[in-house]
Amino acid sequence: MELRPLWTIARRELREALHNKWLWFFAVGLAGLGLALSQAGLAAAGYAGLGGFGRTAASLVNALLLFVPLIGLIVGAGAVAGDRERGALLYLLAQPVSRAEVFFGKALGAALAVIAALGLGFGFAGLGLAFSGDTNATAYLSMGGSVLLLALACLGLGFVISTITRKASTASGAALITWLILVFFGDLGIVGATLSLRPTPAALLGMLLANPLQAFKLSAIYNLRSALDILGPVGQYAVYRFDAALPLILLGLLLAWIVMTFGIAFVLFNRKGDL
Amino acid sequence: MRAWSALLLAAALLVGATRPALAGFARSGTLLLVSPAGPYTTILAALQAAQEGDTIQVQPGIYPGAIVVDKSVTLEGINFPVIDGGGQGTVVTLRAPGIVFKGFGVRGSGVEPDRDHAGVTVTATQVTVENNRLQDVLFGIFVADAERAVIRGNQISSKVEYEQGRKGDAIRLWYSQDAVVEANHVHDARDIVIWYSENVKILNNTIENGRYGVHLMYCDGARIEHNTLRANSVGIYVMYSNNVLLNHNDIRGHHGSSGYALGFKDADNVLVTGNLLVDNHAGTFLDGAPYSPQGYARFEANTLAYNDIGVLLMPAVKRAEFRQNTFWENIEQMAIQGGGQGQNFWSGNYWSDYSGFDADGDGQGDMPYHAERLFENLTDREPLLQALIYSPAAQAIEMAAAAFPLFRPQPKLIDDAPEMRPMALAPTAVAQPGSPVLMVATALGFLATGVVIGLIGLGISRPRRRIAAALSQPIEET
Repeated sequence: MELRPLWTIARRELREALHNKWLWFFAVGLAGLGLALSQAGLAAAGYAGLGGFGRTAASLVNALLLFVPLIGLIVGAGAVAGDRERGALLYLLAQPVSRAEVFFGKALGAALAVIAALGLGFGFAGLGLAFSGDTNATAYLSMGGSVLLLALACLGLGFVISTITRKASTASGAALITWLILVFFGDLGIVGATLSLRPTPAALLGMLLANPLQAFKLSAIYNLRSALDILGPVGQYAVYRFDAALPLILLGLLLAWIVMTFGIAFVLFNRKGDL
Repeated sequence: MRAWSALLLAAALLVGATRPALAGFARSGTLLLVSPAGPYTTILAALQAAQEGDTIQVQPGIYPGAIVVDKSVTLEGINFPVIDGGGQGTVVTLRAPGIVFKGFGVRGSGVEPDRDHAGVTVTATQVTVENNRLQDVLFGIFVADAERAVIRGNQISSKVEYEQGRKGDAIRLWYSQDAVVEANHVHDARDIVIWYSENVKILNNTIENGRYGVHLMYCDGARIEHNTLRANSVGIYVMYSNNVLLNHNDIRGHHGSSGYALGFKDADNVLVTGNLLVDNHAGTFLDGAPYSPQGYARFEANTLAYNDIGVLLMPAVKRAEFRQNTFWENIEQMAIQGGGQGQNFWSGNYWSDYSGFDADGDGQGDMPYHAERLFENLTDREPLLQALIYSPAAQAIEMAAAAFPLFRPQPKLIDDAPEMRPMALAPTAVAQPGSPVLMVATALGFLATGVVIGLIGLGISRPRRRIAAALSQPIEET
């Protein structure tokens, strides 16, 4: 695998992704979400200087949970399937480049596009927060970091979808369904399972962490509050069991998702005769 | 008028009667000086020479313990001379009435919890322990069977090497009524715990990183006012005590499954006003308060903000009264452990999640505040589900309940006259971590990342190239 062709492909992929108006829609949405967060912070500071993690902040973390995975999934799903449908992938692979170069070039380009959208969104939101008096830069930075990991994990998932579908529209549809499962049906299933099976906190924690979104949620709340009491027995168990290692474990989980999804996508992409 | 003068006369008589008795303890004695250079070189020697009512003044230095004071004297440290117990037993024992012990550093008690090894042990009436610094002691100040003790302005911390439960109590009162515990700074010890002591006053203390901030066991008539509590396991827990007053305490940062800012177990005639309960697991926990049918538990003008749960009730709690409190952004404003509806009284509180209006402009919402979230009802019954609180799935369940009244749960509480505005509160200065410059720099860093990547992607090196052309030539650069 050589760097030059890889970078060329990455730039092309980045350019394509930047022309995807979804990406800019997400960036604007993120910035708006962040500004809403800063307004909530402002409202909080307006009451006797008391600040804290309240209902509004909890809702906004969950709003972030809706937005970020969608960016990754949509961009990822469009990365391979679209080119394959147009025949551009065939053309690319006919050039003197390896499949690995093509795949990782595309992955790099798409990742850069997602990072750009997140950077812009978080940048504007951060300015809003700074001017409304929230100056906890460390917490914000680590929040940005874990959002990035979540986005990349979902990007990987998008790539998996993209490599196994033949049409761009199918890929987009599959991405949306995956998103729905991750943000909604999975949780609904856990509600049902909890009510009927009454699992132990450890088992429920396991079920939750199978979903990268929940790993992010735990990490985000822990980052803001240094405790997970708000999540009830499961949160308390997680803190009791893993203590100071918890944030690292959660970040590790997200990283594992990234490696795993891109790995699977690469293996699928590398099959011969799929064009 | 006549009644007034009779009262005054009675008061004057009382003062006249008590003053000579007090003077006998503490005044008019001679002054004995202790310093490494003499005249007395040890506190024990000075104590042997002292008469009742004398004052022993101790210059800076390190003096060995253990010291047992059985004369009614004043012991006064100048610039905190240290009494070191050397890790054996109790360091200072005060066992004559009216002793004043002030201005010392006390350290190095023994470590046996069943022998109550303490920095200072008080076993006589009307003893004052003031402005001392106790550290590396198992228990701090242990007052046993000693009425009218005054514990004021001391700094107390326990043995650092032990975990919380193995540490001793910073202050322990045992059958010691009418004590005053005032303006002490307690940190990294176990509890301030008061057993079987009536009419105790606990005022203006700062209590940090302990287990129970203040724990009352069978203490009728206690007053707990203007204390600051931070990050203990539990804030103030009142058990089996009646006629208790809690006013204007500032309690924050109590987390964990029993992180209650205020807790009440089987207590009657409890009046709780003007407390600031912020960022705890639960602002207030009630289990058997009020306890008896004729007792009351009143909560008025308290601020409960940013707690995981504002008020947490055991299902059997009835007739607790909540008036004019501010419920601000608690994740769950009120919860009943195990589910259910509760039969308590709520009126004129401010609820940050109230969505009604005030058309007649009387400052109170025209529609009652209902706490009737279906998902909260589920989590009250099955706490494990809190893991999904505010998730889209939880919100969908909520919306379904609102849209189809069939699923609408019974309200946990109804406040008929919710306030439209939170209670006016003097702003508390909250130190923000970090600096605004750093925050702006971080934000600009994010922005710059986005912009740079965007420019690379849009082809900064060839700005005039037509985008369409670029798209039609997938790899023009190789």
